[in-house]
Amino acid sequence: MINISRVLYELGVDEWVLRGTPTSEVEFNEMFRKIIGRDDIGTAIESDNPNDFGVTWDQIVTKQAELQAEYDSKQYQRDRKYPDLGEQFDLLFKDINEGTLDKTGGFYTAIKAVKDAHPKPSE
Amino acid sequence: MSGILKVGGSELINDNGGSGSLQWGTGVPEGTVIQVEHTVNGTLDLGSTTSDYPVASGFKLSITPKYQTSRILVIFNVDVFISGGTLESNKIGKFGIRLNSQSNQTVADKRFSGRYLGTGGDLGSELTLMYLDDHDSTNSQEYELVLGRWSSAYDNTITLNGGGFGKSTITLMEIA
Repeated sequence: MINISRVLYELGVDEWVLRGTPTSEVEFNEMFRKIIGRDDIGTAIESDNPNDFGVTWDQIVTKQAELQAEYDSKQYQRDRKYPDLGEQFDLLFKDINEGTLDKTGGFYTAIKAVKDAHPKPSE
Repeated sequence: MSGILKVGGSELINDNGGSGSLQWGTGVPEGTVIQVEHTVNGTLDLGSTTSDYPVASGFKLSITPKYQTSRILVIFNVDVFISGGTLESNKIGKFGIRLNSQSNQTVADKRFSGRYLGTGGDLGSELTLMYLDDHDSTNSQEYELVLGRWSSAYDNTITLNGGGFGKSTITLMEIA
């Protein structure tokens, strides 16, 4: 799950403190505070007034779902574990050396196997 | 039978007014640990901020000193995490201890920083903050972790127990 800090960052909300992980509007209003200034020793002055927050719980939930969908859509990329570069270069060298730098070669076969195991959802 | 153990004329131990539980007396030797308070918190994203240091994290612990002349050894061992930010390679945050019972004075400031070649990388590590407090009181003393950005020039998010992992502790020791 995309965390709230990331969501606030993506929404452009700055100067805040969040003490916990809210799961509802009530919890968010309890845990979130907007920094509205500094006292004479430099400590942050906080506002617990939702009108000062600059963001609503509904906006956070909507953005969080959007970011989560984007993250999930790229899961196939994170699942693809290609051979390390040294091994890939070795496969390329062998294919060139043996005249098999095409779809029958070791390089193509190795990469294709990884892609086939974790296809892009639209493919 | 007396409820007080004296050594060289000084009261070392007494039985707490006859309650049967032993406690240090008024003549306890310097350096003796009188009492210990300890808390462990593994709540993820325990406290986060995008504001400049110092901002109260909410992670805190209290102790009531038995002696006005004793000192409190305050030890925070915290899991810190810095994420986000648009400035390439600069990740920097600041952490400290706030003496909530003493006019919110902030002490034991420490920096946590690192470099990352890109804008999306995160940094996580543990940090230990220590402070020996001359509280000069027998009233309850509260100590809280404060955190924040190094300055407004940075736009990272500073988090306690962030990045899906973390456990932070506070230990307070009253020492004669």
